[in-house]
Amino acid sequence: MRLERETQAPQRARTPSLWARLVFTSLAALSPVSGAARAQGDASPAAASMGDTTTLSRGRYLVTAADCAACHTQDPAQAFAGGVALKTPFGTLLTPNLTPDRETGIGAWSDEQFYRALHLGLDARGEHLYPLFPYDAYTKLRRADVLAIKAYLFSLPAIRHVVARPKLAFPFDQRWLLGLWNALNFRPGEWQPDSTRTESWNRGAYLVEALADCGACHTPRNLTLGAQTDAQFAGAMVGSWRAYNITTDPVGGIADWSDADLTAYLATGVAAHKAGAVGPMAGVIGQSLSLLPAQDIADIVSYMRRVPGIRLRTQGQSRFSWGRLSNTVLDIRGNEDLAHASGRTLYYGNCAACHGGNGGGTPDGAYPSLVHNTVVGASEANNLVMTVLVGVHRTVQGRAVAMPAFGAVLSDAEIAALANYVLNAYGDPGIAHVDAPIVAAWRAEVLPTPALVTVLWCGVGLFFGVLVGGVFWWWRRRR
Amino acid sequence: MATQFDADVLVVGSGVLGSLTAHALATAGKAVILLEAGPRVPRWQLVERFRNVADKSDSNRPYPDQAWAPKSSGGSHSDGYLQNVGPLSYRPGMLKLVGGTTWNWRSACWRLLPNDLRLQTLYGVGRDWPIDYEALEPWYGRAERALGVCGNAADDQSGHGGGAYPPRSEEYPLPMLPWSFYTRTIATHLRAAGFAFCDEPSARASQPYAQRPACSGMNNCSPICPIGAQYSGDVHATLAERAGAELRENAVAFRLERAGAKIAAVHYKSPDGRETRLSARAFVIAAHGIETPKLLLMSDVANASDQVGRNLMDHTGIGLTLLAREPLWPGQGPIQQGAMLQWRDGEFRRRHAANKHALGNAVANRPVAARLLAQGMIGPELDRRIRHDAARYVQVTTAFEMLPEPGNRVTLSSHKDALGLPKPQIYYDVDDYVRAGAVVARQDQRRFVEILQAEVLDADTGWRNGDHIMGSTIMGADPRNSVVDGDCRTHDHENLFLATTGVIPAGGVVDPTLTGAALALRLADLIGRSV
Repeated sequence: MRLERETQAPQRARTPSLWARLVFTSLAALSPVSGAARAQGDASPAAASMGDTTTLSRGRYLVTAADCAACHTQDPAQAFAGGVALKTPFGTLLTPNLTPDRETGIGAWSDEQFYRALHLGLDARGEHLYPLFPYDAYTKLRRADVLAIKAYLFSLPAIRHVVARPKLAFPFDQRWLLGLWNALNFRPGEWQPDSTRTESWNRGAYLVEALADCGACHTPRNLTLGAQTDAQFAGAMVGSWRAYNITTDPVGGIADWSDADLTAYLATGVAAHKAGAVGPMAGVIGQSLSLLPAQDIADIVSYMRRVPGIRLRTQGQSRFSWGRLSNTVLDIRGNEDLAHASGRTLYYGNCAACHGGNGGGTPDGAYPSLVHNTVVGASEANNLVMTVLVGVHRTVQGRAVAMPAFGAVLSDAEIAALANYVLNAYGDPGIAHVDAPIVAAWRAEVLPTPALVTVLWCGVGLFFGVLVGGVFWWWRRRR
Repeated sequence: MATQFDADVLVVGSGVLGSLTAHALATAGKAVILLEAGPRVPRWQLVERFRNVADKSDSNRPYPDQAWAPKSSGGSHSDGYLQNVGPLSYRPGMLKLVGGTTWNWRSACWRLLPNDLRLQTLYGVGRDWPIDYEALEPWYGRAERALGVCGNAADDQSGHGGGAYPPRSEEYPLPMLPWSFYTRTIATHLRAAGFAFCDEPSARASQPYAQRPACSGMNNCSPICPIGAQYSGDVHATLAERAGAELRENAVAFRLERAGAKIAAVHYKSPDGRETRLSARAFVIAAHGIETPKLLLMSDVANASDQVGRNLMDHTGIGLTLLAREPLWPGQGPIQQGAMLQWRDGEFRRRHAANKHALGNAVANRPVAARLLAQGMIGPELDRRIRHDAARYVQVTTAFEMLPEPGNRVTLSSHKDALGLPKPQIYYDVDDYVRAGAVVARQDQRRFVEILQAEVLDADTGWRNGDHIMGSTIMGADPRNSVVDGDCRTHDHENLFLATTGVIPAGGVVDPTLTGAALALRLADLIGRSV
């Protein structure tokens, strides 16, 4: 079956980054299911182990460990058909089709051409590949492994999918310039085991340096965007994400993680009470590391335990040691500033305990309802305010009824706010509301001035006004 | 030339005892200054804070938590205040605001029995009071009137099933509150089985009383009575002010200044650290059973006997939590209504501690729900079980009589609070007298389980404090082994008096506030006549 698809332009640009190669592994996080995982299908991760001899399963294992699908699978139904858009500051690159389609994929590539691509960063025609493709890591792969990868890719369905050639802005479209980059940053050569180290360390080194390429994200870049070799694994940016320092520095790095912590983190994405993988690393673990055999993880741990410790930034203590339990909700809930409480709050604090949160009092009427209440519903607020000020004290046939006086507890402004709330909520909202001076006057029982007195004072004022005016007129005339 | 004083009497602490003292003296025409370490907070704000607070498990939580005046728990400033170094953690209720710790109490107002004051003479353990019940009795009556205590004067509160006891020259000012269905039902069952169950007198207005509305049974006595039917110390702080006393808030007394054998002045700090000196003719320290000895120790006064801070007692007890077979509907009315007193007094006190089994009546939804959630119950089954269990939840708290042990004590910690003052350091434990009493009490508790045909939820709660701080400034006739005399006057300084339950040398099994109030009114009367 041949599947057909064509990608002309970026369908969806992915995470921007300084040099898009930094997002290489991050993209795995964005693709729902990687081709590698699907390719594996029914087989358990352990089935594709280092020890397997058949080339195909070895190839499948290597493709998983290198997480090729992260960049080369856009649609999980069309594994490795390429077309994933990688955004860089120099333009957007589309990853090529790795299926064995002879026209649009790599079906026509020879073993040698394929090896050259991974080992030297050159395409079938001998042109430089952009180092967004991490050939600086893959150069370390053994030839047999490279060919196993090819064999596995060639065993997959060929998908016809035309991927447009990248069009970067000048001068970045001049591929020959990459020769200069290579001269500065690229040392071709397969990984050479170190016989002074353990087997586990050597296997780990191969996984970390050649296949998984942890440094792609965790090693900072130099001026020309090559790996900063003196700061390997010391932490770097991946788009907007931070790939943390994974060196053995006790403060900056992961020295205080136990082997069990590291193993659990790499295999499951979670080191209990310490870390949970997020962002790009979640994808790396989900689509690659978690599918590797346990021995691989142990080997990676063994290797990472022995990389030199580097601390790039001044850091007081390790990021795993910060913080302490602090239940600040206890400091804010129930600690509101009640100095300027609203009428509603004043109602709940002072009145609701007896008259109810809804103003309905008690069913037996022992605590009166404020609804359908003749004092609350009156057209003047006087008796409501006065009742709040002085309370209720009524003894009838030996049975006492009491409401406390709130005059000593609440200010004039508070009583005004409270009364206006009660009027609005349970009374006639249309009547004249009260304010602090009115409450103060009622509190002091200052009697309103009768109209007669006003008229008298006006008359007196008028008389003196005319008198003073007359005297002034007379004085002016004399001059 | 006459010396000028800032006040006739200076009272440190505006809790119930300090405020009663200040009110009595101001009413008697004395110039009184009342110092309070904390702020004034109106009831409605405390009610709102209680409603809104996230953590309802600590009843101190709604009360102000201030750096300069920490309470005993319930806030970042307060949780590390009391420094416990002994086998038992002692963290009694202690609030710092105008009105003090009686904002959050259960308001039990028992009188001591005459025999409680003669413990050494009668039973050969502990200490005798230097005064007898007769001397205290009239002051008990006045204290009951001041606090507005309701109760049943016909009860035999000695637990012997006889007539009205202890002797009283006047009725309770208020009739007892009606018992809830829960209290009635349990009382009936337990009385039938021979237990001496009787009403607990409490400072709750069973009818409108002295501007306080009647208790409406909201079951919110602790952390705060929302309507002020239950007495709190702010009542008399306010009355003292109206009678002319000057109340200074946020004034943390930290030093008593000596002049010869007398006290000349109190020095206090404001929250910003500023210091003020106030002189007076007489001084009353009413700063709570832990802060009062702390202030004396910091000032190095009244301690010729080396007894200041020692002999710390409480009514440390044990709890029992049950699910009764039948629904009893706890939570109606006050949170505590009655108690069993058959082990209150008798020859057995030679051998083991007396006890009082108090019956809790608090709405149980919170502990019930917490327990069921911890079992993993969710959904409709959780709702059903909360209703089922909350209707059957029975809490019994058994409080024990304690004896004064010099090793149980308050000292000055090397840790300092925000004002640079030492935090209180506490060493606390229970002795064999109490442990022997617990053996007897557990036998009773097993019978409660049988009588109520109950399922035991928690039979061993561990030692629980009663928040009844006693002994820390112990009263006695002999200046060599006690801090104050029978009038609450310090042996060492004739013008220094202590109004605190800390003076109580033998506290029986009953809540000490009423006794403290009686002693405070008594010492106020003495000062009023002599200053």
